[in-house]
Order: sequence, then C-alpha cells, then structure tokens
Amino acid sequence: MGDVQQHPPGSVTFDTIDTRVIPIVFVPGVMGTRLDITGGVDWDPDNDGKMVLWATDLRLQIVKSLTSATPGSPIETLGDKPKADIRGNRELQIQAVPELAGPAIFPDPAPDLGAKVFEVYQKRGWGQVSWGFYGPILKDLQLKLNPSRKFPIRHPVWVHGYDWRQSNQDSGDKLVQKIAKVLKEHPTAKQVVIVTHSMGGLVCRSALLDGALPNVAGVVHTVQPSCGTPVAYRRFHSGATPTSLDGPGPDGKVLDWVASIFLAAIQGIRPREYAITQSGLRGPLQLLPSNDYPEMFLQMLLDDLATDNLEVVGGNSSTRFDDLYDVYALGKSPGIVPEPFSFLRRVAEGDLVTDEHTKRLRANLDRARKFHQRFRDPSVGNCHPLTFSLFGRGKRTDIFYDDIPLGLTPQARTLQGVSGDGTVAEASSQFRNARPPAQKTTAFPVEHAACFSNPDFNKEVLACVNQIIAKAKK
Amino acid sequence: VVSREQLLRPPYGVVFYPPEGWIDQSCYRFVEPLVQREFVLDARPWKALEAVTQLESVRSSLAAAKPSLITSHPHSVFDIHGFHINLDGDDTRPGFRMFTLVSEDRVWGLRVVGAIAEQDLDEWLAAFTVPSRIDSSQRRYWLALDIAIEVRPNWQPPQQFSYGAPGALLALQWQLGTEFGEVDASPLIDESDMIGSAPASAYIVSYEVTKLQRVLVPGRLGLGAHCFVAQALCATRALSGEPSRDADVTNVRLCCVADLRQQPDAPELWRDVFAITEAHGF
Repeated sequence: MGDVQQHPPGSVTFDTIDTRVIPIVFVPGVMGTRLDITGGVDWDPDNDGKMVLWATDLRLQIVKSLTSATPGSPIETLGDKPKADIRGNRELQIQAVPELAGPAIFPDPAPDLGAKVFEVYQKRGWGQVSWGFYGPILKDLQLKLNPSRKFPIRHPVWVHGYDWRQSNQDSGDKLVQKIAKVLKEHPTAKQVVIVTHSMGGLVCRSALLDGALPNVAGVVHTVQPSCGTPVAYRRFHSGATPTSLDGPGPDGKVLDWVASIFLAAIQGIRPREYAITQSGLRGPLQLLPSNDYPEMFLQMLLDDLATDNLEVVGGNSSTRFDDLYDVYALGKSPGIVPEPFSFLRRVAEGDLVTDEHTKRLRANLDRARKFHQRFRDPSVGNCHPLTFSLFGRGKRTDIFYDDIPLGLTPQARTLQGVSGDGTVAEASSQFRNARPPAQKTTAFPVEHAACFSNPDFNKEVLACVNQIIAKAKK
Repeated sequence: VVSREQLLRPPYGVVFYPPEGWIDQSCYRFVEPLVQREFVLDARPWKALEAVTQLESVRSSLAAAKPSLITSHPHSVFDIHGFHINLDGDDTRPGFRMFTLVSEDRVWGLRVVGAIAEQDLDEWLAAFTVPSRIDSSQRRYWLALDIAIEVRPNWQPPQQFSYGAPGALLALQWQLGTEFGEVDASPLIDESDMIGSAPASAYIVSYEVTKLQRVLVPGRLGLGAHCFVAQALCATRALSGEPSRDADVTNVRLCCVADLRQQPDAPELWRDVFAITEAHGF
C-alpha cells in the first residue's frame, strides 16, 4: 500500500502525493500479542476458551509452551472481535479502502471490498494483538489522527506484535525491521511515531539503541516498567495470588476476577511452580527491578547483614554483592532460583523443579542483567530524545518487599501502596532515569492492563503523538 | 472382518505409531468448526486412584471462576469425572468442561471448549474408547494416546505431534493439502536459522544446528510426489568458560511438509521416516 492512491468516488478530499505521511507504530506489552505456539495452545487473551485451556494444562506443558526455545510467532489473522468492530465502523472501513467512501455509488459494498478492508488491517498487524486490551487505542489512533474522508491517510496505524517470551532485545531487533518495512510501504514517509504499552517500552528502547533511532520521530511510552517493577520479584516468593495481592480488588468485576484466576493458574499459584514457569521467559524476566530501580523495594539479609537494594547497587552494603541480579540468582531467599529437591522428595511432594529449570532461570537472569546494562551506558541516551511518558497512579501496587522478618508469609512481607497502576510502581513508570529527560510525564488514575479503556488517557496519548507529528513536520 | 488398522485409519491425517522407547507427548487438539467446539486430549501423570483428587485440585485453583462441582458420568470403558465452567454466564450451556478418563492404570485429561448440551454429553463421551473395545462397524477412529476417538465429519485434525525419548524430543508438524512442484526446504531452513541464531548464552547448554543433514527427495521413501522429509541434527554445545565436553546429539527436529491425505500404506510410511531418524542419531 503506497501513498499515491486513486481518487475515490464521492465527496472526499484527495492529495495525489503527500510527503507528510508519518505512520504510527504501536508496540504492545507483555502477553499482549496473540501467539501461535508450536505443540501447544494458541496464546489468545481475547479467547476465554483458549485461556481456560492454558489454565488447566499440565504444569510442564505450560512451562514448555512458555519457554522461548519453543517456536512460536504472532497470529496474523484478525480475530472475531476486531472484525466485528471494523464491520461496525464505516469510517475504519473507508480509511482502509477509500473506494467505500461513495455510498451513492456503492450502497452495498461488494464483498471483495469488505475482504480488502480486513486485508489492509491484517497487513498492518492489527490481528496480532489482543483486541480487548488494545482495540480502543488502535481505533482512537487511526480515527482521530486521520481526518474523515481525507486521502491519502497520513498516519496509518501499524502494530508490532512480537513473541513476548523472547528477550526484549530480540523483539527490538524485529521492531527495527518492522519500522523499515513500514517506511517501505509508505515511500514518502521519512519517520514513524512509536506508541508503546508496558513492556513494549523496553522493546522500543532496545530498538532505538540498535539502529531505529533515525527512523523514529518520537515515542510515547505508556505505563512502561522502565527499570522493572517489584511485583515481578515478589511473585517468586508468593506465587501468583489472584484472590489477594494480585486480584483485581474489591471494585473488580466478575470477568476481571475470572481473567485474574486464569492468568494466575497459568503463571503458577505456588512459588516453585511460578519460578519454573518464568524460567524460560526471557522477556518477562527483564521486568524484574533492575539495578537502575530508583527506590528501596527490597530489604534483605545478605551475608548475614541487613541491607537493601539501593545499598547493594550503590556498593554500600558491606556485602560481597553489588549487583541485584547476583542476589536474584541465589538459591535461597532473597534469591529467586529454587533449588531442586532430592529425588525422593520430588516424588513425594510432586515437585517439578529440576536442574534444567534452575540453569535456564539463571541464564535468563544473566540475560536480563545484560539487557538493562545497555541502558546504563552514560555515553549514549537510553530513550528517544523526544519522549513522552504516561503512567498510572492510585491503584494498589506492590512497592516494597521485606525479606528479613522470620515467620511471615510472603503476603505479610509485601507492602502495597497507591503509587502505581496496580502492576508497575510509579518509581519505574515515571521513567525518571530517562536520558535525555522525557519531554513530559503525566499521571493518570488508570489500571495497568486497562489503561486504554480510559478516554482521558487515550486523549493524552493522542495529544503527545500530535506534538511529535507537529515537530516532525517542522 | 474389519482389521484394527482399517478401523483406526481416519479419512485424513495419519495414524502414527512411535518407535519403541519413544513416548507420545503430543497434545491432541481437535477442532469442530461447525459447532464451534474444540477439545484437547492429553495424558495426565496421575495414578488412577488419585485422579479425582487431582481433578479437584485443578477445579479449586479456578474457584473464583465458579466451577461446578465434580460429577461422574456413566461410560462403558472409562471411569469419568468432570466439572464445567460457564465462560459467559450462561448457566445452560457451559463454555468449558474438563474430564478425567480413568482406566485401571492410566489417566487422561479431556478438556472441551464450546457448548455441549447436558443431554448430549453422554453420547459425546461415548465416542471415546480403547482400540480393544472396537467391534466391527462402519465407524472410523483416530488413535491418540492409546485412546480411540470416533472420527466425526468436518473435524480439523491435530497437525503437531511430539515424541520424547530420554534426552531427546522429536517434534512433527505437517500441513495438509500443500502441494509442491519441487522440494521446498524452506520450513526447515527457517527453523534452522531460528535455532542457529540463538546466542551462545541462551542456555547453559544451547542448541545449535551443526549441519543440515540432508534433504530426502520425493520418491526416495516412496512417499509420493508431494512429500519430502528434511532432517537436521542439533547438538549440545558447552558455554564458553565451562569445561568443554563432547557434543552429544540430544535433539532432533524432523520437519515434514507433505500432502498427508490418507494413503493406504500410511502407517508403514511413517515407520520408515522414524527408521531414518534413528539411524542418524539414536
């Protein structure tokens, strides 16, 4: 699909050649891309049936499916939900196929034009992501950045779905390629604007370090765990806790509860199950608080000395540790790598942890260390020079874990506050350590996964994108 | 008299007999598109006596989704227990059901997404049996994990299978109805590139394609004009800094892209494929 198009029938404005095309590339967060996984059930958050199949699968099958070594790729075909939305939205149809703009000529669009509409959005990657999470923002970006019936479309919205099990560096490399592909599709476009959600921010920043920078006019990060988040650490001690710490809270709807339960059952409600499930997930392990995490989130005993994460990374802890990932790699708390039991105990307790899991987990923790290390190089920036950061505030969020007291449950050791979006603490999502500093950071009372259900939030995303576009045009 | 092979040969796909020593680890997914239903059969590593307890454990882990109580279902072959969940709040048509099928010494899990009316449930479950209980009939069955499943019209059969042996995993994937003018090794090459490009630090032991062993051309195996088999060997490689060790072949991925519409000699055909695999690594 190039930028030069035929004049569509009907009363529309049409520029034959437009040099101001600036595509938008949306990068979803962890678990937000639908995946076709070899030998397992598709990952499709839009499909409750698929998710309940995951939730009731054998643990070792889940671990196998959630290991980056198991081949998988984004599902390309549009699901029923986006198809229904597109079918019911005339403007979306017209923006994809301008020929549909003339109702007098095409009172009943020919079936092949309808198929062409789906083809256009599928080509742009709209089928790759969970529509429940991202449908609202994709529609807003497409419809509100592009004036009705004015062609060619100046800001076509593309999606970079990716295999979120892989390292964010690998997904970033693929984003570099995707941006090049998008620019090739729109020959008059020079740059794209990137909008990210959650872990997509890490993917994007990795891509910028790996060659995407000249092709990107600016970035809008939403609820980005820029340096990880404490909940990713705590769950190694507590397992996923859908009815307490990780639940949707008293104001949660029934469907929120069901989704939360399914997700917890997949991740593992017991700590050792959770650990082996995470062991092969390179990308999600990069959501552990990194050495850049700016606040105290972990108090612990190391070498029999009380210390905390800030002392460790600052080199002030009087222990042999100066890197959080070395702490994570320990076999006993505060470490998060479970040691395998003896054979007899494994059989007696039905425990599944093996040497393979612990080796894999340690290797991927090391990968996470190296991934975040790249953002610490003071000689280069760690984000786009024109960055906007939108984050959530006011939701019950893990902010601190006290590993020292004896006899307490992980739940009792966890301190939750309202300085976060329910998943990512503000200390991380504000992106305080952005270099150069973000153009603007704005807080909203939104929940992490559901942030795009808030119209005000989406309005601000659009405002930020418009600022980037305005600067790019200058 | 109808032979067992004839009864177990579905109208599409293949009947696959893994070689001795290999355990079928496949997740068998069957899709019934006309009725929007999908079911998954798997082997559960549970003892027969503890099957209900384990099922209750799964049920209780989903408590907030309000699963039904576990009930038993009459069946001529298996001891069957199950529960259901209403995914969309419709009490009359549960969207998800999970069963355990228990024989004297084995337990299978059977999960169904999509509605089955309560009055149709027993009849639906009757389609599951064991090969030894199949009598002469016009029905056709799919053999999966030693269970015979009566094949119904318009099913989409599973297309991915995996077989495990100590230290090794064999994965098979095929596409139905694809025809090739000439040998196309691209599926294998893609796969090889994917594995080969993984950084050495990917795992303590990382997988590396050491060589593309060979591509067996159509006709070589008597597979027919539209079939070929490609094979790659993957060997372990120690990380730098670790004591070096001999590379052992621990993983073979055999990619088959072929027109596998049922041929009269299909079972023998697939045994041949495995014989070649074994000769090169096991």
